[in-house]
Amino acid sequence: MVPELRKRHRRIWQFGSLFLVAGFIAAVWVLPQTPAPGAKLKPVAKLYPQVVSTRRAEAVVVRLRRDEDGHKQFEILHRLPRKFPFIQVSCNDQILGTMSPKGVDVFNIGDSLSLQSSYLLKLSDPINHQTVLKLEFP
Amino acid sequence: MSVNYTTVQWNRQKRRYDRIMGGIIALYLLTFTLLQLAFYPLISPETLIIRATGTLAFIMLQFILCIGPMARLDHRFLPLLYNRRHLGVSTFLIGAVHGVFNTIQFHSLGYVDPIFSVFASNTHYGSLQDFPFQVLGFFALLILFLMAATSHDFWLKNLSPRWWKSLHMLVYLAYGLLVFHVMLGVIQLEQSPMWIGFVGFGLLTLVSLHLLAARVEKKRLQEQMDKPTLGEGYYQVCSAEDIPENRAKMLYLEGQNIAVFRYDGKVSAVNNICRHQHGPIGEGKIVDGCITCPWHGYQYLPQNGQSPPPFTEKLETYDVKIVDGMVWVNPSPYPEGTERPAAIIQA
Repeated sequence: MVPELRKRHRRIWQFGSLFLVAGFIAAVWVLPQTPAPGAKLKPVAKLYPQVVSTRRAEAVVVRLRRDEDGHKQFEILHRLPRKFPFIQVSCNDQILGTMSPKGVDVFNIGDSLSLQSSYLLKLSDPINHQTVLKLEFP
Repeated sequence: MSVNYTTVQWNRQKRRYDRIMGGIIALYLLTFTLLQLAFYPLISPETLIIRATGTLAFIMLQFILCIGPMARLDHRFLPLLYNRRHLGVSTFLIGAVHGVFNTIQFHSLGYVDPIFSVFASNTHYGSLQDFPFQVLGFFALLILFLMAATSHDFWLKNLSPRWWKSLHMLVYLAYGLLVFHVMLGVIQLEQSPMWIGFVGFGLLTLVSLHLLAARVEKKRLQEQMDKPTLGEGYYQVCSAEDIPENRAKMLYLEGQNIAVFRYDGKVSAVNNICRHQHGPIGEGKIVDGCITCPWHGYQYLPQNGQSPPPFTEKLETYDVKIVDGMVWVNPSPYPEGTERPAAIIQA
């Protein structure tokens, strides 16, 4: 490599590394403080027996269910077009998880959320920043 | 090295390189697929392809950018440098699969053109957290495409080595774009400490290697400027014993980049810059009596800097002498291809 080119490489990396490291730190700094949905991807096997309320919209049916101890869950049956291949589900601004392609998903909501009386369930496409659907319960 | 253009100038080394590369790529894809199926049993085939090709292309680009400084710091990595362009073209192809599947998956079923959708579906350009990270990936892929498309010697010859090299140095910009594509994309969505650690480790390794190699190189050049002189314009190189057989010592004296080779009990000096892609001749070795560039195998005769017929490339040559076992070189260049007597090493 000619010395002039070597020098250009050196300059690029001296300034570029500062920019890259600063950008990396900034990207970590702005990470959302909500829990990662990845941990909640496991399907819930058991459906709670009591249906509190049901909402229908477009190609989605959502049931809010409850067990005898007051724990609650959302059962979502969907036939959404593949326009939304990645849909995140949140309830009262807390991320519950992502919807699977199989058409039926169940998301248990935590104890603190279960104590609340009204819910705003939101389905959104976080990649394109689009809201797919909003449903209010009860 | 060829007098005519051919699609790929295959040789045993390149075939071996590509076989190993293909094997590692296949192994990665297989392992990644099995792990994804184990952890995400409901994953769709499209998502699996997007994830596998995205991570693989990023790892490959990271590795490609590590090869240069690794080879400068330790010559045992030089074989990795030899066929780096095949690695680069493969990286583009894998990245292209990632890009095409992403565009189909996330942008092809709307009312607007998919490429337009990449730019217009998310317009939070002023927000770091919600930044449309796919745009960064798009431009990185565009750079990799330009590099892959012009990787052939035809383009090197017609664009000139200076412009060709400048174009290909855009790979650093592509890497920066991809770092932010990952950091503002999948990292913001999944917030996985594993992926953050993975990107951070790769970034720090790459930056450290480049800065370390640059520092070592600068120190070497500084030491050469303080070399003792013999009179008549000669500068001390080193003891003849310090140059390994069929290898070279490189020097930068009076604006001349010089490689001093030892071979068959003799020492000769030629210009250190290969006429092909300005590769460092002195990092190569003498094979079958010819100096062989480590980058792409271009060859030159050590005593006159000429490529063996029918090739026409030529290097400048320099006078060398040996006094009391020490090698001395005069950095005044002779015209390209000028025969100069080799200095004989006394037994």
